[in-house]
Amino acid sequence: MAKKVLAVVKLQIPAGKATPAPPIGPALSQYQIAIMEFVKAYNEKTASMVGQIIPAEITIYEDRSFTFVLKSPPASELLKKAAGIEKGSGQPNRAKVGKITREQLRQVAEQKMADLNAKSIEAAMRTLEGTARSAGIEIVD
Amino acid sequence: MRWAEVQVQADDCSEDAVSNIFIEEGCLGTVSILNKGVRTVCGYLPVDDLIELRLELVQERIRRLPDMGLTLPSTELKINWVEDQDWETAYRAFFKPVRVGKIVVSPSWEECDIRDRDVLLRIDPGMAFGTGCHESTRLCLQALQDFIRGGETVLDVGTGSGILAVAAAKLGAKQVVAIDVDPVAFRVATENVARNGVSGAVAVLLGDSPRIWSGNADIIVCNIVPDVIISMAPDLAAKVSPGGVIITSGIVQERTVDVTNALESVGLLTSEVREENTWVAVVSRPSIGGGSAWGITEGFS
Repeated sequence: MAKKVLAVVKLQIPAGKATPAPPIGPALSQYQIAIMEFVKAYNEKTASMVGQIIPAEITIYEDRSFTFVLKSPPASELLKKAAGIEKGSGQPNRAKVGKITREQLRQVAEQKMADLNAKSIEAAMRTLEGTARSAGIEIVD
Repeated sequence: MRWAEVQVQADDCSEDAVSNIFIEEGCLGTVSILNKGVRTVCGYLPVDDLIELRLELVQERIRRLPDMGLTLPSTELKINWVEDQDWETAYRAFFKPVRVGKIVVSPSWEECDIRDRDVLLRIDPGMAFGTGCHESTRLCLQALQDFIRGGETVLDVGTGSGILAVAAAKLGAKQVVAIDVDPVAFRVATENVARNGVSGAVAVLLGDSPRIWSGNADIIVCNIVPDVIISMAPDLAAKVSPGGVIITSGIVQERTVDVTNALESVGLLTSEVREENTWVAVVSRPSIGGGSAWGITEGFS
């Protein structure tokens, strides 16, 4: 429906727990779409993934109907999972909260290459290294 | 409750790091929108005693991202203050009854003023195209009332919300077959057919081609996009009855010729091109009184 698309909105939200509260309410109500239709469908599709952040990419058409697809978890979630931590460090320069190996970094890079628009696996790894460091995760050889 | 809406510009590489910071500092999720090449990530923090501290923390962490090798067009947070609203039903203000000729399309929550010979369609906007608010849909609704006299067989290809199939049945078609490739549209269309009390006349089918239905139609309506219409042209020609009519819509003005060429190449004649704003619907007919010209061409080749 190429020409009928009004907007594409990406949400990063907790699986199975969507509500009309922010960020979903204000983000979607500006496009005048039926928010509860999205909330119900998203929660239904992600019920088995509770505990993870599962992005949804919503395509809104000019007549305010919409459709959405689920995406793989964000890189930061995959990196934290690889490091075995729940939360990153608020002060990543000083407090390191986890470690991952370069091989683990490569695995995440392979999973996220398309989303990152990376030209090579090395480029994707460089980006992810920054994402890891921003959460206080060290890369070890 | 009040919310601090925090926004920062990011790119494909720094987006996840920004989202992660927003979520770790108290946002219940993030929204990312690409507009004119600039990606903006947005989150909402509840306004409480700690809000100033939280905003400082978020700003500090975002400012450090370039040191980690991540690029952002700007590391400065933009903050807006937002009051709690009834976001769940706010969209309803946008959807008012729409009239197309004698057809009135209305969401279920709206009262509407119906005259004697009006045809009322109850369609709630949702996850399938066809709310009645789009030119491409309105062109088809008008064409259906121009061509349905009563008793016809109608095929709706790419039914979406089922709006055109419901309209055809309510206008007096004897049998309507509605097809869509999308399981969500299949579900929504089935619900809308039932809600409008036309289940007896309309069959909704899930499939990627008009050929999944074995019959022929007096009227075919196909509101999709030019490329799909073009690739389906032979199927449409094969499915139309002798003396029937095909309405194709969802066509932007500049692609009209591509569509009419494709339809004419399978033996259909363009009898009318209708326009509303920048949108076009094409009305075509089989070129020879006896059956689809495509079938005849196939027979000779």
